[in-house]
Amino acid sequence: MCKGIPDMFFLEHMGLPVEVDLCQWKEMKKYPLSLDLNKVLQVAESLENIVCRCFGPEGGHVLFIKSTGDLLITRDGRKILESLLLDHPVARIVVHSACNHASVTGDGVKSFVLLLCGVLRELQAAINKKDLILSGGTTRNQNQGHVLKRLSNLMMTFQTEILENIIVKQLSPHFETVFLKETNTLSSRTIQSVLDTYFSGRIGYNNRAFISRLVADYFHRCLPHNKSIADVVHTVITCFSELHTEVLGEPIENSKIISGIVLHRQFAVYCPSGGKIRAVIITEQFHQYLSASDVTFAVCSDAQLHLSQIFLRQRTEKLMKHLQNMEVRLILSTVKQPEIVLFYAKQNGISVVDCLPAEEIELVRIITGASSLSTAYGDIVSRQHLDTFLITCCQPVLLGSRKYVQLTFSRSLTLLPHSLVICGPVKGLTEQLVSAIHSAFKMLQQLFQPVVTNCVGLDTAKNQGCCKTRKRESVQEQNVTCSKYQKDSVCECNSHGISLNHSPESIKCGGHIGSRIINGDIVLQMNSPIDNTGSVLPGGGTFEMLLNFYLQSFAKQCQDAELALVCSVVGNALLNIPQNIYKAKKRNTCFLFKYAQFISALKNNEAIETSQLGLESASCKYQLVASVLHCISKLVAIDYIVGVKCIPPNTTNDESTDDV
Amino acid sequence: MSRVEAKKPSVCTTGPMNIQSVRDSLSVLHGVIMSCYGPLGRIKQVHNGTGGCVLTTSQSSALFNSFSVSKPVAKLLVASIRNHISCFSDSGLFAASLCCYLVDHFFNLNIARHTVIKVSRSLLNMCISYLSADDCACKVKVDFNSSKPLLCLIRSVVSSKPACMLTTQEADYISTLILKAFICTIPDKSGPNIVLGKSVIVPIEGHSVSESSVVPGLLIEMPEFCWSRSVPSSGLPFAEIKLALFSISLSGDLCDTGEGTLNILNSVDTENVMLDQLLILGKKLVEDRVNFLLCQKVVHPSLKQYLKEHSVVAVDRLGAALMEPVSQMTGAQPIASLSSIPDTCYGSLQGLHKMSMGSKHYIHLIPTGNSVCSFVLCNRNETSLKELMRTCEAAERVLQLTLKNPWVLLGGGCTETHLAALLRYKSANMHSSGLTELNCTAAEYQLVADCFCISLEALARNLEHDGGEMSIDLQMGHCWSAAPDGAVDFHCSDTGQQCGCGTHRKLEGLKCSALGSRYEPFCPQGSTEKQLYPKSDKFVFDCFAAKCNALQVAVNTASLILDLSYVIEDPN
Repeated sequence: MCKGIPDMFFLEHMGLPVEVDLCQWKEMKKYPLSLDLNKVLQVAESLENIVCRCFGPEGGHVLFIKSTGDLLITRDGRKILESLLLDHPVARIVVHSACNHASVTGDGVKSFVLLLCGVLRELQAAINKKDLILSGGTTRNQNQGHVLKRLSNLMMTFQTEILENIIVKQLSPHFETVFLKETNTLSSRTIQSVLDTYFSGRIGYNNRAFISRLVADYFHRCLPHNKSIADVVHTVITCFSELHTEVLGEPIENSKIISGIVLHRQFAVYCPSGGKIRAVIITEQFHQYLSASDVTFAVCSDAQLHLSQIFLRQRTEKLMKHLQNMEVRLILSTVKQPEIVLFYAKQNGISVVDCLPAEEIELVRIITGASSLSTAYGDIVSRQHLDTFLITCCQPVLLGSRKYVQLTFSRSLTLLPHSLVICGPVKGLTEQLVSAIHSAFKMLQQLFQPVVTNCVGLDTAKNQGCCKTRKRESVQEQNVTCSKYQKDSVCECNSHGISLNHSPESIKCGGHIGSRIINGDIVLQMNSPIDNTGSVLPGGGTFEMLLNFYLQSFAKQCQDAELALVCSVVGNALLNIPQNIYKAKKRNTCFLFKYAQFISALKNNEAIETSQLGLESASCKYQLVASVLHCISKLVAIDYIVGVKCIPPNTTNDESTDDV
Repeated sequence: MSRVEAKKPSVCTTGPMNIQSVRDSLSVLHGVIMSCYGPLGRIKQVHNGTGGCVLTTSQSSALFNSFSVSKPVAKLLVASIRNHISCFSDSGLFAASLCCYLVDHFFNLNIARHTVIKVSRSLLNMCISYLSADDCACKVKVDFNSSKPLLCLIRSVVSSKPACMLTTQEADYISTLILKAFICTIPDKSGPNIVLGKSVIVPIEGHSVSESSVVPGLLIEMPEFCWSRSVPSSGLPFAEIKLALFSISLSGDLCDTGEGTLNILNSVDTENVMLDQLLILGKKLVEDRVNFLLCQKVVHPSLKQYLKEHSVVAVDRLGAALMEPVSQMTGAQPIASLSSIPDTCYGSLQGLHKMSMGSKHYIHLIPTGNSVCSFVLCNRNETSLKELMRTCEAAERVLQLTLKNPWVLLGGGCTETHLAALLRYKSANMHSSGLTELNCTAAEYQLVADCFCISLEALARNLEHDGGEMSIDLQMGHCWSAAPDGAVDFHCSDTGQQCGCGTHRKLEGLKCSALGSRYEPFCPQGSTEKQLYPKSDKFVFDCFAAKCNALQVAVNTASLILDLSYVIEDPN
């Protein structure tokens, strides 16, 4: 049986119609388990049911009680799905793909599930209609597996060949940029707007405006004038756990930014001193003992023992004196220093912070460029130049009920360090804020991603090489290109379809895609096809409705019936997202009204009212569609789930096999 | 075969959480909290099923730390109140109770959750900005030249803890002592980097509360048999005592030899080497004219003997907790080396005394300056003594907070009723621009504001547990209580003549309305100079910082509970 036997797939839905599918699963313990679109859809819909309540600006929180009894209050789709601890293989694939997507863009798990569900629903509807286009002339019952397999390939073709094109050509005029045109600097208003939209989906109603302002402020304060944004964002992401401090028992409004960094330890020795001070980092015991881990000490006589003990004490005393002579006033240590070191430090007016986590020392190193000091005796005394660094201010700081150490730096190579103090009444809530803010920087990183145009998924490029060159030749005239290209891809796809069951090459190709997705690399290899970095567009479903419009109009002109079908399937599915955004509202804000208004404005080339909608990163949005298409192309290609007793050599649990 | 059990999937309860489930999970908790609230609150006895320690209390800090709740929503509430208490140690019951009331009332409303959250947030902002404004009528600036306001503040903390079992006189006495102890911890010198001293509580069981006292300096417990061993025959030294404080062990063990092994030949006597070093140290101390040695850890008996012969008092096993106060009080730096001790490490004391209290003996360290004191706290039995200790700690924290932010709020329910009156007035005169900003209708705003005010008034009403009538005056918005017939209220003899906080007397023609009933919105007036501070000095004050934070925590937590749409539990 499969690892993690799903005998307890237990998801209690009060009054929701998804119970059916899960109950079925409970009974079905036998592998191999046949899988078709219907079952995948059922699983996806049960996930959709869970996330849609937390989706959009009106979404609610989830209170998660961990097995340890700790609380977590979250609206993060990723946390919600992961906390469900799902057992169904299909559900696990979906959650895994969604999380991979989120680890790149920092957001979009809920949208991922909604879009996935939308596409699956549309596909199901298309197949259930007596649609002979897809079955390639054969009858449906015999060959559904074959149809799905083809669909899987079509999805990939669609993404690389049509979607990228449409986004580059037709959607990009609607994009705005976060850079001010005149000065080529960041527009703080746009950044604020992007963050507002992001936080409206991620944290509670109560505090989103405050947190969004705080994060935008933090971002701007950390930016030095001459440094690239990407580097700063990268440093903030990697060091975020050191750059923030959680404070419990205070309202969120007390959150603030403090300059410098906070070391999450107390002073072991504190000697107040004004002005700039010199500091060193040490990573080993300052005081030496008689023996060490690889040194055995032989005691031969009383006098020897006595003298060696005195020598060691004096050594520490002298070392500390030497540091004082070098005007060192602060020692940062990763290890715990014994009492005697603290004593001599105090005597020489040197402050000590010990037991520092390695990550915090690393951050200090990144900021100052200093390296740690070796305390081998001769080394310090003989060397004239100590690797020290200057600190503007070093003082104890009281955050909540705990004392920490605050370091302020005079200048910095990579970023202007600032620390975020995040307050909240409960631990679970601050955790949520921390993860949301951390992901916000991931989202910003994605926003500033430098873009390589049209880097097509690796192996598919070989197959459709001719299409691609053709496309490049005639980039000027969109319509002509598309129709031309369609003609080509008709032949291509048809031949593809015919040879599918027999050609070993194409099967290999499909398998390759699958494994790549399972390993989660594909998302990382993808590059956004949008020309400019920092492209944004209005939120509130604008991207989805725009893409829907262009896909539909493209589907009408498209001569290849299969691709046209995929276009309209994806196009319609996209509307699932704005539908969920506007579901709770009444009257003039309902989805149909908004959609009609939007389309008519688009057709008449009128300006669309977007001031209320906020802004979203275009690159994240494209990434979302791409990730969903990848996930689907994998899901529909699976027809059996095989349970294995032992853990397979590679890490995948679910193998798609073709028993045709 | 496999010992690794497959993880069970989580149990997911979908929302929106219905009213009944939330109410069920909060109702018991709320009942407990409500009945503890205020000076007339009922006492709770907490014990576990298998016997063990019994806790008698009505304090939030003790109650919330001993609870264990199973319902998710209650867990959330308890966690957030615990965090508040750990920072402020006061107003925990206020926050918990307000949160329960708000949740209860908000769930009854038939308004979109987000509108409720938004409006309640704007109401909270209104309260906070009013409270932090200078012309706020329900706060009083603390004048540190007079002990009166601070005493009132402490007395209201002490009197709201009935489980201490204090009479009015005893409560007054303890309040004075708490203030005295607090003043002792304020250092004499001024300048930057000021650190408050410490008052160390010394609990003594079985004595009357009136035997409690505050003594400057520290009391170190020393059993009778240790006494003769430590103190030289010449007796305790008199004035100008030079003190050495050691943080390392002087036991003479060869410890801290590193991670490697030590090969010791048979001929080597390590004990002897170590003892020699100790004796050299002792000689040095005697040469330096040290009179008193204090050691955090153990002192070798031979060294003790040597020091005793040279009329040096040696006291060991001080413990880590007292190191900091001793160092602060005497100026001594903890010594961590057996050799090369600089002169600057020594501290000084004004005197040493023997002190006996009950069956216990103490050595009393009398400092030259002011910064550390011992608070000898007596009470008749263990449970009430523990409660009294908690009360004193809470009161000390409240005083520290007040020192930082020198304002106090009117207590006795007056702040609550005053705020409620203000909110009612402001929400009745809400501008339409504010409503469009909140994206809600005037009726919705009014409903939420009503719930908010009713919750605040319910808190004020909660102060009365004996069925007495509570009312609000329609001029200043203060809270007035009238004891029911027959109930003897010893806290304020002239009940009904004075408002809850004691700053106002009932004047002729003051219109009142029963608390909880509807009244015409009015703008609550600030007190004129003449009305404030009447002859009586029995005001009831609350800590400003703690109460403001409690208000914010309560509203935030209520919004959080309201915003929950799912509960997922991991049963593993």
